[in-house]
Amino acid sequence: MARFGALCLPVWMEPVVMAFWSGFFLMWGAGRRGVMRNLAAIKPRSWAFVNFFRAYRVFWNFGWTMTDNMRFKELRIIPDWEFVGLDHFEKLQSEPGGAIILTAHMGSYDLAAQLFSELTGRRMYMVRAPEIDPQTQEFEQQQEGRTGSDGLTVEFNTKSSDLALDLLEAIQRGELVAIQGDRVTPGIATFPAQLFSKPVQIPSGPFALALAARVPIYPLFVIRAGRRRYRLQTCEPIVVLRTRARRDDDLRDAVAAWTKHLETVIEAGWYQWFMFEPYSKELPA
Amino acid sequence: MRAVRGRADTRWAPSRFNFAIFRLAALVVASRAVVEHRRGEVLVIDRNQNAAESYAVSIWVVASLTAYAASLLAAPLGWIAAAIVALPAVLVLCQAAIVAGGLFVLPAIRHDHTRLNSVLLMTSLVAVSAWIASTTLWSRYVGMLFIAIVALNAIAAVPARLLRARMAAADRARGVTD
Repeated sequence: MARFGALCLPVWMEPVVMAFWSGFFLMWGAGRRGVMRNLAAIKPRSWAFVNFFRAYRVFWNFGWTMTDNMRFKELRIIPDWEFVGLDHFEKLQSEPGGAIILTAHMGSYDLAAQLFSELTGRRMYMVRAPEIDPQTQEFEQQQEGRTGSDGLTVEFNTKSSDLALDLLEAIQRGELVAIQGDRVTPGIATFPAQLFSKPVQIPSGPFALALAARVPIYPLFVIRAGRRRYRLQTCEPIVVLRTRARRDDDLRDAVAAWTKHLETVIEAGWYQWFMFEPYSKELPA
Repeated sequence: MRAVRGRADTRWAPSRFNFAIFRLAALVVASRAVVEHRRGEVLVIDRNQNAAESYAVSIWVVASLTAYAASLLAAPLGWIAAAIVALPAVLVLCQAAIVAGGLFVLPAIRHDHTRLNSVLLMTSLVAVSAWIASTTLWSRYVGMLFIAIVALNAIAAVPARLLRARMAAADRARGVTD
């Protein structure tokens, strides 16, 4: 359906379609409640009534990013970009060995990864959370095979032990590995942290990988800044070093640095954090 | 796809606009705009890249159709109900028209159907507006305005075509290269 839209939808009708379908997805109870509960934690003094309309804005942004992603895959139409933290981004590009890019479910991370690999000429390995629905997962895998770019390998983290070795090898070959660090899927190793004063489980894989491969982690966020416009925000790299007797103590500092970046970016861009279930167990399901 | 790096003023390049009226307006602004260097800015050259143009056309189409629907539904439903129902009805109709148009043009060409579907939908809108303009409904003025704007765009296409060389020069001045 998204492909049909990308190939048939006149550009001047896009806002009408987005407005309609964002309203339609607001009827998806579980997703709407998930977004609203997360918003209640991000904005502690907010009203549920207002958060209902904020949830609409989240769906609106989600629809646009899906469209931009599909238009790029099918028609190679690229949005405008602005780079924030360009010095860090250039450092990331020129890292002699590999590096880890840690990102969140914000904006069009798919599109950014494809563009990054095509424009910089560096090979990238992107790890994605699998879709919950098997049919959607199958479609996603077919899409990656059909429309993906040569420099980008997409892996779904369904088998964490095998994947960890593949990622380590990729980094040792000097490739970049992009991982989403704001959501865990069953079977993935986690590390406890705090996000907006609520306990949360953060995937520990990227931090353990950085420690094992001795490469920096670059927090990088792709934020939708308007119609066909994205902001690529690269933060100061997080260096994970083995300095203490207990490995977890070293990881804890790195995870805390990551959640600090994550909190800052989500607080400013809550309207495009595509987390459709409560991020913390403390938030009512 | 072409892109310009480090130049914020490229946003006024006429080749980033689609409709003739907007391209001419961009030419006027571009000829007065100053060079604006901005590190980390990447602007893509595509005729549908301007957000203001896209939103303006979209809002104009929906507003016109809502007026038509409200005036048509007023007789069977009454004014209040017609005013409430008109916008949702138009939004649903728009989805149906896009899908129907898409299915109609899909076999015609192999890949990108957006342009053909765009022409098909705009022609349908002009036909509906012409019919509304010929009735005695209050929305006939909206229909007339719709046709007038489409006609104005068609007239603007003539100078836009004649000024192609100047538009290309304005593009180059904003950093666009072939």
